[in-house]
Amino acid sequence: MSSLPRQTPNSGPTGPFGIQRPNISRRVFLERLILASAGTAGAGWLAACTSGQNASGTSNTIPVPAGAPAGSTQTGRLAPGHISDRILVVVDLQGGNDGLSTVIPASDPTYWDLRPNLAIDEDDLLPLNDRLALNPELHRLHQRGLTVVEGVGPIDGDLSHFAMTERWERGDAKGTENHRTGFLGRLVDTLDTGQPLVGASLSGPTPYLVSDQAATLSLDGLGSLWFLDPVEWTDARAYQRLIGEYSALTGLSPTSEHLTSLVPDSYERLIDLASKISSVDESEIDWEDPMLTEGGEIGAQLFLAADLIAADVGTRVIYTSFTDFDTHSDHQWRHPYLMSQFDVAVDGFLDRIDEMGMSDYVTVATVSEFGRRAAESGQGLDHGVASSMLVMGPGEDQVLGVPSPLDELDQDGNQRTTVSFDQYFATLAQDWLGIEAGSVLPGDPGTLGLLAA
Amino acid sequence: MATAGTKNGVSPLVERDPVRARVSHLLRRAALAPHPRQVERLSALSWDDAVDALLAESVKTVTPPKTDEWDSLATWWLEQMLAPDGAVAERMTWFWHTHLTTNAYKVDAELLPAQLEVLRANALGNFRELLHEFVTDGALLQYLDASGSLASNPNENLGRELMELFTVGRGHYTQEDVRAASRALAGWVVDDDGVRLERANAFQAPLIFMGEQANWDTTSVVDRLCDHPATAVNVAAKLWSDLTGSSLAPDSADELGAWWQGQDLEIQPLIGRILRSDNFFDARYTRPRSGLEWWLAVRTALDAGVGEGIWPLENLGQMPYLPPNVAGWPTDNRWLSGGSLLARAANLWNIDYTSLVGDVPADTDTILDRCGLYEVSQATVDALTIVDSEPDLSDEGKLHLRWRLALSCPEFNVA
Repeated sequence: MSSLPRQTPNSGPTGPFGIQRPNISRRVFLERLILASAGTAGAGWLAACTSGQNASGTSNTIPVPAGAPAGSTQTGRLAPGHISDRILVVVDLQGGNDGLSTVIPASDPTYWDLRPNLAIDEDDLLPLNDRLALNPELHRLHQRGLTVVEGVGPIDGDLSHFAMTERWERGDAKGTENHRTGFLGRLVDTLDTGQPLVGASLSGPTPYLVSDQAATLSLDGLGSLWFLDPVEWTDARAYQRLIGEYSALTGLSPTSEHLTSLVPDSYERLIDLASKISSVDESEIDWEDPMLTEGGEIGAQLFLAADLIAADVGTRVIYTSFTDFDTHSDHQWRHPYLMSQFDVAVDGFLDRIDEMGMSDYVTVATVSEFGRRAAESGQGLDHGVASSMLVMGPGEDQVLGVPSPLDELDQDGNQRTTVSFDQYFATLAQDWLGIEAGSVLPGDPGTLGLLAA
Repeated sequence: MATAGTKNGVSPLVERDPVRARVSHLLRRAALAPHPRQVERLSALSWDDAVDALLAESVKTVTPPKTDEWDSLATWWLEQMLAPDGAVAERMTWFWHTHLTTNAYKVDAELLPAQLEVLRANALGNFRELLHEFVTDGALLQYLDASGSLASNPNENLGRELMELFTVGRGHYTQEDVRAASRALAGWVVDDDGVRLERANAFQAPLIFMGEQANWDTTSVVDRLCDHPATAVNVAAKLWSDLTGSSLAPDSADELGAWWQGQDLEIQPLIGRILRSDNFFDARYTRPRSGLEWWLAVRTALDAGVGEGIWPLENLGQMPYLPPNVAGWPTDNRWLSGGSLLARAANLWNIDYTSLVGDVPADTDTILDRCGLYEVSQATVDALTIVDSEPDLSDEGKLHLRWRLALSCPEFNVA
């Protein structure tokens, strides 16, 4: 890679979408892709869920609900940036994150009864209010401030990873809608005004991001995009040009139109996208950054997410994920490790966002297919229902949602859903991104008032 | 820019060699990649004889080498996949790994050779026997948290996935069945002494499972699930869609499942029935090549063996023993998305074609033959041919470019 010709630096700190950007080169961006893909864990299965290109440049008007926060009158830690520039970063805690080990109902004696082995040491808890405390591994985020949403889950769900994951991906809390697009895909379709890359997954393709027309891309596991870089290299130039000619191909065979329309479109769009990502300046990677040394897979992905935001290709929704939350066994070792990676990764990411002067514009929100069983089973926890979600961004620190009482568990011994997850999604869509919730979710779930403090 | 051969954006497929086109299709589906030697051998036979010949080959080497490094084991396994013989058995060994999966990062890697032997020995055998051996395999018991599960407080992971993924599927069991199965499956321990059932930790009393009260244990639970008609439907329909590239309508799936149950869940006859079904041949190029299939096809076309190592498979999204979750790998169009295509193109850019195929004629026909593309669009032929008139390329540059274009053409990305 070092033998490749270097890009000519491009000056101009302001990107085409009008936000001040730090300097970062496409080379550095690509190197970070390699880093992200070299991340450990068996998680990263890749490929991507593109929905095809958005060459038409058609622009949707964003329906802004009446009374949506405008960004200047907030009383929180930061005044949120203008609604039309805001970015949502989703962190998927795959496998089902234990809400009771994330946001601990410390004042409830039932918690201590249910978890004789797996309760977190009371002395280590980080208090949030007189009822709740945060996992001790989340000390950076505790210091930074965050919003908790309690009791989030599906309606009439079951305990299957795959069925519940699919409901979250589609934004279908009751499992009755049969959407073809993903919830994040519908967000990017609404936000799309023809930007090169409206939605990105940094952890492989995800049904979450299946859109109708907005440009999306999965960047996980690419290993290397360097072959797209050398614009002065004859072989590469010829390859790019000729491979672009496949775009002329449709109807490869009568039985496979759906395949052929995907293959050629993507080559052309990707090469175009790569050239756009290349139009920024050089800088250096700090390999000692804790995000990379201690943040695990999610650290590498969020490091890349910051680069992508800096690259200014119009990205509004970014999906990241990491696995191993399915702690049927060894919960007491595995869960703190995951929390610690999450804490380092999100805190480091928000530091980088702060350095870009973008902190008013970026919110990070967790999702997870379900919580875990209230009572422990041996050294682990079986599948559950409701869990607590975390939201980190501008605005007042709050505790939202409705507590799911530990003395009113369901017939399987799980915390009941007190906040349908589509209300949580409605909150992210409407309160944060200014998208009318009813346009991307079934019914009118109502929001929880993320920026209402 | 010259794009001869496309009219109104449509470039129909051209049959370069009808017989070899049929055989290549058969090998893309029933094997893992069309090996040139197999194409030649089977081209001399009728369709029925070709199917028979393929099904008659058993797995070459059943027992993998002992190792405590999962990537060494995966390397050995991939070498088996790349050898031309025993191709259907290799495909089925892989299919069972995608259905009955295990993640190397969660288990003791020294247990994996024994699990692979279970998959290889039963690849074309009997599904019931395969499942009995798999459910009591040490790596699987660790992977699904059944090792150390106590009847007094059982772990539900294996009980649930056994029903949801391996056998009957959703809609055919309740949470009470998950609970009962988990009790019945309790008591297994995997440690340095191997795999054993500790009676004291197994459930010793009658349980109601699938509506029936009995002293259920691991063996009877697996048998009960294999007796359930939904298991035959579920597994047969999954194999159908793997081999044909399309999913079965519910009533056809029921019919296939009922037939397979009548065959006592024997795997080889099921494959034969699917390969001989009416529209198997018509459904050419109808599904994506998965990451592993594509990589094997590239290595096969270049006659290259595993080569520089197995790690490219991680970027291609399908490393053996690293499934994204217990459901294995997705089978849909995600394999053809932008990120996948870039990963594939990057892989092609890393190959030294001079040393691998520098002594093979670099004309368009030879390259398409090597790639098993006996049916190809005019646009692909044109792209390879245009390389000749590239002004600034050396002969070596043209060789590399022509191979890269062939291996990234749309037809090569599908099966």
